[in-house]
Amino acid sequence: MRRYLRLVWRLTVMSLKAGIEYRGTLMIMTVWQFCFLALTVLFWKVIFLRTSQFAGWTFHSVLVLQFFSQLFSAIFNTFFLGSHVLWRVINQGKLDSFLVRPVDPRLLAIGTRFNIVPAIERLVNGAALLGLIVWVGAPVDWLNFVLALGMVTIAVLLFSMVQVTGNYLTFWWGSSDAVDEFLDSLFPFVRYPLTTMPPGLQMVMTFVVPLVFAATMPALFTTGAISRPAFLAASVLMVAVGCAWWFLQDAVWKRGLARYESAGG
Amino acid sequence: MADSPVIRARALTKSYLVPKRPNGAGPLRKLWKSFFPDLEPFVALKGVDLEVGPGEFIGYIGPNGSGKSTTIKCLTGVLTPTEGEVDVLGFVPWRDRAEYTRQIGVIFGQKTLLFWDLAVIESMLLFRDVYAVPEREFRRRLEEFTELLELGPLLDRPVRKLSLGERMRCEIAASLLHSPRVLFLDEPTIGLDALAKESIRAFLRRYHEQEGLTILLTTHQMEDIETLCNRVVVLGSGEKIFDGALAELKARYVPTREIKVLFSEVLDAERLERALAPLAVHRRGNDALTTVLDTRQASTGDVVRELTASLRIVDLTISEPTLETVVKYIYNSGATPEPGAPQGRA
Ligand SMILES: Nc1ncnc2c1ncn2[C@@H]1O[C@H](COP(=O)(O)OP(=O)(O)O)[C@@H](O)[C@H]1O
Ligand SMILES: [Mg+2]
Repeated sequence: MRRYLRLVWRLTVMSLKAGIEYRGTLMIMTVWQFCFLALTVLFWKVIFLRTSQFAGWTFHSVLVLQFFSQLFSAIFNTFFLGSHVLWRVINQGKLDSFLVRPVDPRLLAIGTRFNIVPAIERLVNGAALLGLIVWVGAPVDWLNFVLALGMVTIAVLLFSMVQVTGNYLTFWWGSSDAVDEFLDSLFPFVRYPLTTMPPGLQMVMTFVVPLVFAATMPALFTTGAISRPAFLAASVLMVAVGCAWWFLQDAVWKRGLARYESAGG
Repeated sequence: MADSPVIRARALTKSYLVPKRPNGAGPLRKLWKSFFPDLEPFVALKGVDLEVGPGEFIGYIGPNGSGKSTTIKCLTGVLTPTEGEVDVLGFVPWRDRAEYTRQIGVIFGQKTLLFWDLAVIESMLLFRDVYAVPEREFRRRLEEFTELLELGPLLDRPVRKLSLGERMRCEIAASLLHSPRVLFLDEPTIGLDALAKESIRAFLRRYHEQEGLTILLTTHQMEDIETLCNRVVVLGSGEKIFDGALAELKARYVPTREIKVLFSEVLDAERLERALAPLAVHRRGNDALTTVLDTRQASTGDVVRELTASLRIVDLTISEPTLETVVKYIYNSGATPEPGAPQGRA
C-alpha cells in the first residue's frame, strides 16, 4: 500500500514536470474553459429569467451543479484520462512495457497519463463559481457540500471503470475507438440536471453509465433538495454499482489479457 | 541447485489470430467482413524447447519474423502462450506477474520504456518506486551506471532529445536498476552505429562477468554474439534449428571462408584459372579477387599454400561469414553462401 501511494505521488510529480512544458497552451486553455463556463451560466440565467423553477431546479442549484461538474471534469481529466485512451495503449502494443513491471499494469497505464493541466485550467472556473454561489446567496449546506465532494470523487472512479471496460474490448476487436467515442460523448451529460430527463435515461445514467452521482446528486443534496437519508441511500447504491463495475472490469481485463497479442518488435 | 535451469520452456507454442482474406464474396459480404473478419490462427512459435542455466549468456538469433520477439514476450509474461509450459526462476511469467517481474529486466530495442517528454532521471526515479529499490542502493547503482555508460550529460535531457545510442544506454541502465537476475534483450543494438554498439557490448560483457546474471539476447550482429554469448540458439520459422556453441554452429553449418587476395602483378586469365581451380571465384579484377572456399573440399591452409606458391601476392585476408550469412545458410540448408557485400567491381 505504501509503495502504491509513493508511486502515485511519483506519477503526480512527473505530470507536474511534464505540465510545465506546456505553459503556453495552459494559459489559452484556461481562458477558453472560462469563456465556455461563462456561456453555460449565461444560458441557464436566460432560462431562469422566464421560469423560476425547472423540474425542481433553480438558478442557484444549477450553479452548484456547474461547480460539481467542473470538479468532476478536473479530477477525471487530471487522473483518469489514461482510462479514456487505453485502447490505443493496447492496440499499439505499448502495454508491453507496463506488463513487465511488478505493479498493476492498469495503474501504470492510467498513472503515466496523469496530467495536471486540466486541474489548473479548472481552478479558475471552480473559484469563480464558488464566488458566484456565495455572492448570489445560493442555499448551500456546507456540511452536505463536503459529503457531496466525496460522492463526486467516487463517481469519477466509477466513470473511469466504465471507460476502461469499454477500452478492454480492444483485446477482442483490435480497437475500440467507437465505444470510447460513445462513452466520451456522454461526458457532457455531467453538466445537465439529469433528474429533468426521461426516466429511462435516468436509469441508464444510474446503473450503466453512472453519471448522476457526478454532479446532479451532489448538487441536489448540497442545496437541500434531497434529505440526508435519501443521500445515504444514493451513496449505498453508488457503492454497489461501483462494486459491480469493479468485478466486471476485472473479469474483462483478465480475459482480455490472456488474448493480448502485443504488436511490433 | 547450481545447475537447475533458470529458464525452462517446453513445447512453447504461440499463434496469433489473423484475419482470413474474404475471397469470392460479394461486395456487401466483403464490407461486413472488413468489420467482423473471420480469424484464423497463424502459428509464430511451433513448440520450442529451451533450457538456460544460471549465468549463461544466450544469443537468440534467426531471420526476421522467425519468432524471436514472440519468444521473449512469452518468457517475460507479456503474452500468454497458446500451448506449452514456461518456468523462469520458478515462476509462470504471465500468471505470477507481480512477483516474477521484480526478478527480470527487459529491453525491447524497437520500443522505448522511458518517458518521451521527461528527463531521463524522471524515468529512473519512477522505476525506483516501481521496484521499491531502497534509496541508497538506487543512488549507488545509478552512479555506477552513470560512470560505465557515460550517462552524466544525459540524465537531465528529455528522452525525445537523445540519439538512439544515447537512449539505448539509458534504457539499459533503467532495466538494471533493480538488479534483475535474468535480463531479456530484444535487439538492443538495432540501428546503432559501430561505436555505440561497441560501448553497449563492452558494458554488457563487463556487467555479465561481474554479476553473473542470466542473459538472453536477440541480435543480427555477429560481433554481439562473438564477444558476448557462450551459446547460440537459432530459430527459423518458429522452430529451433540449432542450439550449441558458436564455433560448433559455424563448423557444422558454415564450412566456408571468404578469401580476398590482392596480387602484385596483372595476371592473365589462364594462369589465374589454373591456380584457382578448386575455388569458386565470385568477383575478380585484374589484380584482385574475392572467393568463397568450402572447407569440406579443401582446407584453408592448402589453398593459401597453393596461391602463394603460384602467384605473387601482396595482401590476403581470410574471414568468417557474417551472422546473416550463417543464418541464411542454415535456413536454406545446402546452398553455398554468397560472400559479403560487393565492394564495387573492378
Ligand atoms: N501481434 C501480432 N499479430 C499477428 N502476427 C504477429 C504479431 N506479432 C508477430 N507476428 C508474426 O509472428 C511472426 C514472428 O514475429 P516475431 O516474433 O516478431 O519475429 P522476430 O522477432 O524473430 O522478427 C512473424 O511472422 C510476425 O509477422
Ligand atoms: Mg523481433
